Amino acid sequence: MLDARLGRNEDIEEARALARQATLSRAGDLFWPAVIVALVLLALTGDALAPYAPTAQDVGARLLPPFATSSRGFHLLGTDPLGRDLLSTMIAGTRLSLFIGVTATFIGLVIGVGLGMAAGYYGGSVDRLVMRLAEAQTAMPMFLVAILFLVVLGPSVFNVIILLPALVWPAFARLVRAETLRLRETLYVEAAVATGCTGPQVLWSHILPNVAPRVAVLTVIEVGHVMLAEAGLSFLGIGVQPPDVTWGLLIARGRPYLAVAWWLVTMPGVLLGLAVLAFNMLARRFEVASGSAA
Amino acid sequence: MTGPMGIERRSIQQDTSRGGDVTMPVSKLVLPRAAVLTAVGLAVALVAIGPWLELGGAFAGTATRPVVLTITTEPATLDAQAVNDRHSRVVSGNIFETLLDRDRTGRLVPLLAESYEAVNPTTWRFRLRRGVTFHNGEPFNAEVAAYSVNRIIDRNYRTTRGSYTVGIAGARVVDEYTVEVLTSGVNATLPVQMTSLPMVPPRASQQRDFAWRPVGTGPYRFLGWVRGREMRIAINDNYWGPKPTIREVVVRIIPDKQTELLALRAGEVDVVLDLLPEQIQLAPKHVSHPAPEYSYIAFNTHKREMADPRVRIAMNLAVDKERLARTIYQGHARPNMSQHLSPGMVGFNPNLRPFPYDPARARQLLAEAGFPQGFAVVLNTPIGRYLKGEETSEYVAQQLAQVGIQARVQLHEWTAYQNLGRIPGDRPGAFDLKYGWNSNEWFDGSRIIAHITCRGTSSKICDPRIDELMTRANGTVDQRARDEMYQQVWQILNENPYSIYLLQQNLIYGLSARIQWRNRLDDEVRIADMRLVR
Repeated sequence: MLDARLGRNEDIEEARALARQATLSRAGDLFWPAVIVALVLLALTGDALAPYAPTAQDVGARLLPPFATSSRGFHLLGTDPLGRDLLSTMIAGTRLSLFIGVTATFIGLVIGVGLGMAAGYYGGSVDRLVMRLAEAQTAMPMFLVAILFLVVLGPSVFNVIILLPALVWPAFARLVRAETLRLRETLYVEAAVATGCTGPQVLWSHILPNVAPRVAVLTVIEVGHVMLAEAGLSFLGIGVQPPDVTWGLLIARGRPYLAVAWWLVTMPGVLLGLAVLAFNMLARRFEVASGSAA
Repeated sequence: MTGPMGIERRSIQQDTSRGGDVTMPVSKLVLPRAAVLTAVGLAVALVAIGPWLELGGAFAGTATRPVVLTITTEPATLDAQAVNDRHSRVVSGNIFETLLDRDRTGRLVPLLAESYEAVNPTTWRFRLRRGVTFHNGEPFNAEVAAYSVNRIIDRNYRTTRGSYTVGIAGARVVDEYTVEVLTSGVNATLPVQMTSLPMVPPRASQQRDFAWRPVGTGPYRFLGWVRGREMRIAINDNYWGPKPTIREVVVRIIPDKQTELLALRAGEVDVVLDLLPEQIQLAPKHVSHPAPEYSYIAFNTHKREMADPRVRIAMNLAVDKERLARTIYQGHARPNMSQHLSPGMVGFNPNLRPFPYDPARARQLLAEAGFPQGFAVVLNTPIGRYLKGEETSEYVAQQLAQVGIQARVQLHEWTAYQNLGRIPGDRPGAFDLKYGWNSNEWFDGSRIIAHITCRGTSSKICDPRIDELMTRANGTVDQRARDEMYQQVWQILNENPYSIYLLQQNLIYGLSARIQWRNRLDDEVRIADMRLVR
């Protein structure tokens, strides 16, 4: 075992390199968290920061390219087919995009962590049931299933929020189950059981705190994942509906004009990409910092 | 044991057809989620940009290659009597013919009939053209014409063209080249109805494969259909009339507008339907012509807030239609004359004008009607059905907001939208406002009847004066009297508006450099009207 570990020099090298990077580039460390903080601030205080009201039309100044000026003023990212300021609508979209990402991930987390702990701790038929469920779900193209449900239930923010957790809970369940299996064998859990703690008590006060850090890492990744899924659904016209607006919807709305007004699709697309990347980079930093590179 | 994060090294055998074994080391990352997710992000972007990449134009530019048209939806059937969707008509409209037709200027002209007359108020006699045969050799005669009429009105025949044959009771043979069409009651619109009643061959049309192997008398005959890809038609060398010049035509199904446009730019296709005004600059050539399509926003006059005609006039005054036409439609539309008719059509009222843009007067009228603070309504709009329909609705909502009326735009799938439109105005669930286009392919004042009479299937207005005029106009075959009565109807519909009258819309077609097309006033795509230019 030990030999095997020592034998893999590359891994050790790489871990060292990562560690070096981590200490040397403080600025780089701060970049991705800063992006996320900026997005959250945008979502919370968007109305105050937006240069114009996101729904204010001016058809006399429609389809202006970035850096153009209309009679109303300067448009950093240009305007849309109704003359709405693109930057302002993107800021308005940030709130809902982020809200859906965080809420749906949290619901998925609660379900996944609950089922994962139960499966890992109780084992047996509970374990088999939960894991088969997770496998069945992973085997299905969940995005298509989500499309089916949204077409049947009707597109709305609420329906999107209750459907998207289905995409993420298996990841939480698997991670937590594996961790719980390991923790179940530890002395302190055995001690707790010996002193008469019930299963739920053990899970709540001994297992949960110990899986929390890894769950946190996964959560950050999944928020990005869910935001992307929401954008996909909204892009297809079955997610969020106007007058609500998200980045995915903005991309869809700009698509007919792709050939004549590239900024309508590109700008929200870049922002979406940046946000997803930021969540993932942040998660990687967490992993490196906690020494639990997966 | 979980291996530490790292790189799994593998060798992948490459294709060795061009020499000795080449083994190429490829480091296959156990991809971190970041990379996977970023890739998915790019994929979303690619869905949008995808069309730009699909430029695999495989055609060599020879003069003999077929003319390619594109449509975005695949027809369910090519039986021209069964459906009336525009995309199937691009194919079937060139294969089938009717007894009467319109010329380029919209005048009613004979086609498979040589002449027609009303022998009594409920009987119309058509003398048929001789020497016409179907593509499969079946002769065209009175028996066939009578069969065609009786087939489409048969209750057991499933068709979505029902609204085109209302009031037709049947047809009977007089002699080999004379047929009589009977109407239930006086039906002045029978001649125009005959422009949308395709003639079908009795033998072939009773075969089950008629829906995907159509046979007509037209200038083009059907060649084949590759499902999901394309349909082919070719010139009918035995055509009775003037021969078209284009020999072979492919109608390709390209479900994406951007792809269509790019294929047009790449010289792969020759005709693309329904471009956005902004896309014209990207097309090698285009034609844009005013169509008999009138956009409007229907009122539910049964709602308390909109019962008073002053409120509805105010809403007409609140919308700047000139600006809508100039900006959002880039000049490819114009305010209509507050009626769903154009000069030259039966019933066009030359005294009516677009409502002026006058928000001050609108506010005053609203105050007089008891709504100085305005009110809130929902404006219902279908998704992706009408060119810039969603944008127009948002524009109108903004304009209404300026006189105090808060209109929320609600989007619907087409079927849901249609169902919504049929809920009677005084029932729960009926719409407040509804955006749509009224198409008048009959060029006749009677076409709108379902929208304005008390019992009309889509109507949300009940004005006994209108009902009386419409009934009387339909009960006479005197065209001048009808013309006057429909003019009066529109006069009333301006004093007691059933809708916000918006625009007369253009249809815009993108063309390749080699196509010359003198297109028609209606939205029919007749390939016989096209020429190839060098």
